[in-house]
Amino acid sequence: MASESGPRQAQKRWELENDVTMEDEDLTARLSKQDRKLGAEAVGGSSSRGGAGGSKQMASAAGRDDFWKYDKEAQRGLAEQAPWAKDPHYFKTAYVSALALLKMTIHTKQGGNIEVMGMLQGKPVGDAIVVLDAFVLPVEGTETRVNAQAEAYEYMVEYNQRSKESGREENVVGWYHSHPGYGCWLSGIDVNTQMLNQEYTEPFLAIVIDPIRTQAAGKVEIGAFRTYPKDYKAAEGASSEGSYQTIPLAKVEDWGVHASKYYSLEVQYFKSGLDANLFELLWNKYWVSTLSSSKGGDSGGDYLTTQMKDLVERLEIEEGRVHAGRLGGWQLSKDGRKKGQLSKIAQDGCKVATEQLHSMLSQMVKDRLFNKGGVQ
Amino acid sequence: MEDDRKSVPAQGEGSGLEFKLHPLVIINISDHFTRCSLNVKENGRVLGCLLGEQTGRIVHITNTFEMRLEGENEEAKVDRNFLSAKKEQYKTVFPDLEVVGWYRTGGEVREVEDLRTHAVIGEVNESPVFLLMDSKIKEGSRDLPISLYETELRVSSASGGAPSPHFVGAKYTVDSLEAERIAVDQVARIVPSGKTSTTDQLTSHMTGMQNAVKMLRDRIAVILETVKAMRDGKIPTDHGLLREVSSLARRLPVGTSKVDHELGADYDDTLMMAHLSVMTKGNAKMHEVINKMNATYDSRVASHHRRGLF
Ligand SMILES: [Zn+2]
Repeated sequence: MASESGPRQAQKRWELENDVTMEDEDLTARLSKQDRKLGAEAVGGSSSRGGAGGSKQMASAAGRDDFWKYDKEAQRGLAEQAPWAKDPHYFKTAYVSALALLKMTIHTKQGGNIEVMGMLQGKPVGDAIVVLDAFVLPVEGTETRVNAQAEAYEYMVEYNQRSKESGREENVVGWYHSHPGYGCWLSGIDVNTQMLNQEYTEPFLAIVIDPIRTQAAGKVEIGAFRTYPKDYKAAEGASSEGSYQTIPLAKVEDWGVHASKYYSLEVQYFKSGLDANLFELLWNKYWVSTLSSSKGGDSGGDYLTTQMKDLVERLEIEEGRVHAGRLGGWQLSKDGRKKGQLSKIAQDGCKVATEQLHSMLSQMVKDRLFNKGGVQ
Repeated sequence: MEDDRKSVPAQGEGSGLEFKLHPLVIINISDHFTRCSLNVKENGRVLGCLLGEQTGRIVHITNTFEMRLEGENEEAKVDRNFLSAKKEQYKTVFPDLEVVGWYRTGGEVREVEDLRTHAVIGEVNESPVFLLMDSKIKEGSRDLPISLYETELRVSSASGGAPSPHFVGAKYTVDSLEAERIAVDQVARIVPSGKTSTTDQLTSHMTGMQNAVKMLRDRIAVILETVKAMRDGKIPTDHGLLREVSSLARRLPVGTSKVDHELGADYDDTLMMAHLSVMTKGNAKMHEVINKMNATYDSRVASHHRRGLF
């Protein structure tokens, strides 16, 4: 009992200072319940929204507050054990907080067509890396320069130091950067950067965001990756080589050469109980945008045109290949690596068409609502 | 929008500034609060700086960072060194952002204590704004638990006739950039990420639309009821309001024939795209079948011919 009074007292004082009361039982129960559930369920669930005045969930059930609790001892123990060193495929999931997602989305969008980068703060939990926060690094054009991260090293150390002083115990657990318009994957340079970091500053995660596709698709285009050790040979289908990606022709080579050197982690989002409530309230102000914004905005048309052009170019190449194959004996098409090309193009085409159909759907709804009404 | 404004009891003249609050600020404070409530420390007050940009009379509050306190409990003061170091850090990456105020979580303003903090921020920005966020959200509340305050010099008896600063409520609206909207949409609804089937995407897209339309319908229902009540004489007639309603109704339909025409063209384009993508898909499948046929045929007749079927 005596040992418990310390933290409890501190908690009480904190509550007084901050003008809140946390019911102890409630909090501990919430925590222990969530501890048990850890990793077992999809964060936040995909609970459907109640919408206007409907069944509003004001309960904090959707929150993952436990991720914010930092246990120094446990983290140190984990770092000493370093279970990720034994299994190159150890980490399977990346949990990204609402805050980190928001920060990264805004930053990469601000960068526009220039690649920008930043760091992730968080901690490993089980076979997942939890990203609680992110911060911006003062470097640009990261894709063309080897180890741009080193340039901002001083800034990064300083920032992290200040974070700790203001009660953020989490360490840097990775980096993020943007691939404007060419999809989420790791380039040769990215692979090198990531490998280096995984060698010296484990656990480390790489996140890539495509701000242009994000805008076009109306949802955040994000990928989380980890590289394999240098001499590691990934099992068939385990690396990102086998995964499906839409990559512009100009970048396909860079992607193809390095795709077997890393794998992608599943990205899941989480929010705290308070976040969940605030988002609910925010949506009360946001619903208008669903009806007013036309998806893609000004750059939407451009983006669509580029995508179509890319598809046409790829189709032409494919056509040439099939022709050559037919004339010079069909053996050419036996070449395994090239075999799936046409179906891939078809898949990409379907994706573009689906996106376009979605936005058309919105337009039709709006047309009905605001133009064709009044007949009754 | 009417309900974006928040009325606070002590409405003063204010500085005439218009405050636009961005979602990142709200989520930042929420993160700060959650973190502190779960890792209780000495001087762990949830206190921070607001960053933003001012253009003319409009202040966009777009980012925040935490502040640190030094000193003992009652006498705790903002750590100025920490503040300026943090400020520099943000200046490096966001050169356009300035300190525009500060925030704290809690239920109500504590005049003496808050004015002290306000004064410290006043050293950086001459007319800072104070944001108070209540972490306890009332059930059924539709407004964000956030209030903004500015200070105003007022003569009061307590200060012996000399003018002293007092907090007065300030109005704000929630504003957001497209990127913020997408991210908020994504986390607010927790749209399944990455590998989703097209059916899931369609469902979430349609659900979003449906919710928005529902919301619109609700709002219109409110207007309709008000107008009806006015007609029946249940509530006094507000001519200003009626004029607004009338002008709103008269804006329909919004589209001109030109817009209509463009929509038609877009519609055709979309159909064409769908058609093409299906054609390509068909071709790809055909190609696969031919390849397989060739392979089978070839292995069977390999001894006789070295040619494919097609
Ligand atoms: Zn890259």
